[in-house]
Amino acid sequence: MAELALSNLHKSFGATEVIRGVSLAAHSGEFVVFVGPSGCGKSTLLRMIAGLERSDSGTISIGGRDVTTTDPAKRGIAMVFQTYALYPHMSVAENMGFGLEMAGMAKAERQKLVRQAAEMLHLTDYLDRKPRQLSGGQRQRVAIGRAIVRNPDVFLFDEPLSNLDAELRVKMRLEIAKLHKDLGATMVYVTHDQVEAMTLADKIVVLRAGLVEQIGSPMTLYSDPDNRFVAGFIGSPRMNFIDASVSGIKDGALLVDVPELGLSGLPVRPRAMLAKAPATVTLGIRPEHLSEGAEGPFRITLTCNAIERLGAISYLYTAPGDDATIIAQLKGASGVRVGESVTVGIDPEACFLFDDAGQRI
Amino acid sequence: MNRSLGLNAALVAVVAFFVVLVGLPFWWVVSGSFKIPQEIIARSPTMIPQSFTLQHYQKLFEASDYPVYLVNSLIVAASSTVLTLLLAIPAAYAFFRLVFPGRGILYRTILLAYAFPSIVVLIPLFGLFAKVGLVDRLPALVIVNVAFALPFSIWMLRSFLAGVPKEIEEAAVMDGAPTLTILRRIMIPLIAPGIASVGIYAFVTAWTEYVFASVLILSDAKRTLPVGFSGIIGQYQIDWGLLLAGATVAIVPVVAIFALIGRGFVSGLTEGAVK
Repeated sequence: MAELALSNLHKSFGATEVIRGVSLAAHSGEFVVFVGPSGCGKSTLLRMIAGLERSDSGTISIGGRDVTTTDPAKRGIAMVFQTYALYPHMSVAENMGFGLEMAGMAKAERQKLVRQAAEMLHLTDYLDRKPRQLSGGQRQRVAIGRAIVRNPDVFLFDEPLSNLDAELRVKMRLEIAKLHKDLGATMVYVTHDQVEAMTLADKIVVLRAGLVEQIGSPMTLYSDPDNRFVAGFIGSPRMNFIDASVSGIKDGALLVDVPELGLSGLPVRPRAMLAKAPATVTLGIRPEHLSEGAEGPFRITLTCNAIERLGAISYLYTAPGDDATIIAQLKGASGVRVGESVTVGIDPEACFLFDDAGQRI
Repeated sequence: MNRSLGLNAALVAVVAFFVVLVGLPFWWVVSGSFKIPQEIIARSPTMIPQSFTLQHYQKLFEASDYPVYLVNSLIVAASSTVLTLLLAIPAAYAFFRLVFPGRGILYRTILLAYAFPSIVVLIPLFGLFAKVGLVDRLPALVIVNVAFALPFSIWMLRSFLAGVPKEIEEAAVMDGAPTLTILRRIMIPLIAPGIASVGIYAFVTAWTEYVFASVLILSDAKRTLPVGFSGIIGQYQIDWGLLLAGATVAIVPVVAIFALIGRGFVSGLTEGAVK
């Protein structure tokens, strides 16, 4: 258990700079999740913490110790790979004990630790098997066991669940959460699955193009995003973004007009008081905040072009496949059919405003 | 898959044709070695032996230098195989994993050496070996065999190494294994099929090498099988029975090594490692 601190890390592959000055800190025992679109640098950042990639500049420290140039094995970390990366010719017990053997631990002690980890992960009956004789979930548990036995200060997970089927993924997600609770270790977890990020993380780091866009708790990112990118990335389906204009300021709120939706004078409170209101803004509202049948002065009418019924809820799309589509979450298995119109209410308190550069106003 | 009877019959016929094509000379050599001399040279050849004798084998082992050649060949082929593997495995791993200046050029140079016709260097090599006192000594043949087997062996092992998922090696790095331990404990077991292939290749090349063995070895007692055996063919007459028996015995080690190492050709060895 130890805190982890990254300070102004840079990394280039040839002429491409993939990590462009990343700084962050994780407390001891914290569960940190890196999310971001493909190619944002999240896996590279994890591999830099692991020591599998050298950083061009900046420092990495674990437990107050500068490990920027330390060998991977001496950093006090263990990593779980997306592809498990088990040694196929070794038994489960040998796979889990290999790191301890390399550290020079006596055989009896090694076996004891392997057995303990195997019990924790329900692998006791499989210790003599080879990886090819195990299911995908069991293999991933062996990979986790290999990390646990080394009792690292920091656990690193590189998209560990993305090779599993949906049902197993949910199960393993809960197991990892339980593991974090039981071990109390610092964990860094890379994923592109925002459900994993939201459910596992104490702290989410949203990355884009090698830069940190925002760091915060899952609920902070959901309810108080710094910019349009984070607002769009966290939450599923993503937030609706609607081009709008500002007609004035009243009681500290900007009055927002969207003529094509028949919306005018929607009072949205900015994050901070503004000296001068911008003429054009982007209005952001989440699908779950467009409520069907709501009373109130601000209502818009949406024409259904596609509907997805999930049972408990349904999603209505005004222009499916188009970025400008508006998505509304309707209750239950909605009876709305394609071509029909639905009136939904907008709560100004649930709206966000972004400037032309995508920054939150 | 449903195949018509006609297609199946055609496939069987094609396979049978090739089995006969490849197998017939072998059958002729092996069966002939047990025939009495009169039957071997009979005007109408017999596919199924009408006689049985071990007289050719008796003569081969008791009245000729064949056992000496056999032992020499076994020494040369086995040493060449072991040395080739000992050098090719670390070299292939170095070319595959280590980044050092001139790696690309060095690797291409090695492949170029493979494309080089060996006969061209025969005379210079003889001169070189004469200077260092290696002419008429078996180590000279081992050196030559290893030198010519290495480029292909390195190239082949390198591609086997490239087939091992990178994460397995990275996991070993995270586990604190030094480079040589990774090679010995992780990579070598995983490329066993490649090592088996290279081993067989090196053995068969050394076992059948003729040109260098005929030039670099001068005394009869140090000849290898291909060269020594050709001396059994007399100037004025050929002892066919002896020749066939010798050829049969020469096949045995190759068949044995295939049976022994062939078990190393286990496919899907990395199955279960990733995914």
